[in-house]
Amino acid sequence: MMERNNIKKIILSWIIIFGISASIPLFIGSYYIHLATSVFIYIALTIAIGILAKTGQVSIGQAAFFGIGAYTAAIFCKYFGSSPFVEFVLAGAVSSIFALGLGAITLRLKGIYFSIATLSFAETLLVISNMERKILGGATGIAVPPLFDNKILPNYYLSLFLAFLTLIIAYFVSNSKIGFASTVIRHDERVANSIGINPTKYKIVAFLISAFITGVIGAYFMHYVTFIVPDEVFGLHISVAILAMAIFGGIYSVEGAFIGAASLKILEEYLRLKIRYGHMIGYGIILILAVLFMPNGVIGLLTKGRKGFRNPFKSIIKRS
Amino acid sequence: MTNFLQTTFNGILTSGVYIVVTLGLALVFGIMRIINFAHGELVMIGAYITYWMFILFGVNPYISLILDAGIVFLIGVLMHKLAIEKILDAPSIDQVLLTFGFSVLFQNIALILWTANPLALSRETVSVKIGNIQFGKDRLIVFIIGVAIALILNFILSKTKIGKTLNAVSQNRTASYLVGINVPLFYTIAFGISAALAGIAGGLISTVMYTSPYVGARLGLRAFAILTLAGLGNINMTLIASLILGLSESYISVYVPQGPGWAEGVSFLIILIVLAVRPSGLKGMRAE
Repeated sequence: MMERNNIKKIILSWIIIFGISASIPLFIGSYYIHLATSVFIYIALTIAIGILAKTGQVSIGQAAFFGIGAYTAAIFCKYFGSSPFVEFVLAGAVSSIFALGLGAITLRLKGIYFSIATLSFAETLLVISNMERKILGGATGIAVPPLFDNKILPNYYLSLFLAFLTLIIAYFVSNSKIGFASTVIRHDERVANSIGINPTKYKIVAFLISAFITGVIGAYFMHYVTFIVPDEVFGLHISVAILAMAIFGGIYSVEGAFIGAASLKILEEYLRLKIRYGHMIGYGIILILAVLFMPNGVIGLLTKGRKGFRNPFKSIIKRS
Repeated sequence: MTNFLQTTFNGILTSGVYIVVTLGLALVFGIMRIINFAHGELVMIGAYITYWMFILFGVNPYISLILDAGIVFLIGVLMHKLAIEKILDAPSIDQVLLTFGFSVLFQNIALILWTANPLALSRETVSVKIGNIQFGKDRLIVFIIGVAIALILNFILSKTKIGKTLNAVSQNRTASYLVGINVPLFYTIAFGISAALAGIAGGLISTVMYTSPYVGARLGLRAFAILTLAGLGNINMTLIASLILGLSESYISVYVPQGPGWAEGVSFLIILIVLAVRPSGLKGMRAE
């Protein structure tokens, strides 16, 4: 695993980043605090998809679990009046249950089935939540009371806390047997089998963790914005953003998720102001270019230098 | 009873478009083992071409089909040459992300150019009546063209030299090189044909559905479901699977409360059920 010296360095740098993040609200206005809050939301979401991506599986319907989390929180709040923090855990649990069902069926198969199923799952939930009026509120949406009387700072610090909690979880996961197994599975499932790693089991576990975190963040988002319509949580744009952030930063690394989410969320805000329709075009371009030229993301460039680049114009087809 | 017949007929007519969309998707997947998540968006581009040709120059939508096929073929070839070709040997996660990136790109270009407003080709719609069943003439023509294209493609793939070569390439790439087949060229051709099919499908749907940046995404999901159900390499199965999806959507729309909404979930349900019942995947799509 990691060397002792390295661990110290990593922990130290995260403490510094945490310190800086915690003190930014002193210097910036409320618009930027809101922006920073959504950056932390996306950092957590991106780290969560990274845990899954490590096994070589890519979910293009992360919005499904984000939305399930948000709606679980809203429903429990509305009908049972539970405390928000109980809701967070429930939201994570419900998301995981859905992930277990979906994963048990599709993660046995290698390749693209899982991606297709996740995309289809999110789109289906979007339609259902738009239509179901009695419980979910239909297209007119659903509302919950705000956290902390809607004060901006406590909300900011909660998102900061959640993002760093996710970060810590991700470090533990990637240094645990799950992380090791994931890497082996990604490289070769046959090797994994031969050393006693059950690929399906670990893929499902990684998916559950990923869905749990995404669900919790969904619940937090619900309380942060206090009112949602289905497209805000189940919409394809969420899944797209998470994927682009992950691949841009470096899909297999926790640090990459942090860099990717922070830089692209800010870019998205900028594009949103410039382009009325279709500001997501930035994500499309980034997905394409990142896959072609830097499959290991910004982190790959930082750690490997020029080797982090893929030269797509070299050797077009190798032997199969 | 009349209602039932009408619903059945509507379902059958809808499946005609599904077939064409799915065939293009299946062609690329069968030969290169890549699922093109941007396939639906190629359909969308075809739909816009037909729409604008009609609005700007008054070109008959069925004549535009040739143009759809040509332009989208070129887009497909470009996409393949510039991007897809480079990641044929990359991990599947990269392939998914790349084609999905194209899907996002095309969708947003359409949004920027034409906003999200659904556009309708406003032509005189002629209704045909058989007994108590009534339907638009366009829907019937679309269905007939769809099935005809499926049969023509089947003929090309099984009887002509180009079809046999594609078949060889899909079975064994290395051996194809050895017998002197220009594999990269045939990959490009296959991708182009797949895109052309998407373009034609787009032209067809613009006459019977609203054209919008999202129209392709919805059809794409249906094509995934049909592909999962039908497996590869069997046009008859694709026809049957398209019928199953078209009919079940049609029945659910009519007979289930809030049906049109639930009908959108049928594709997902099909994918899930097929994968649950046949964990190794259907014919030609084994887990390895």
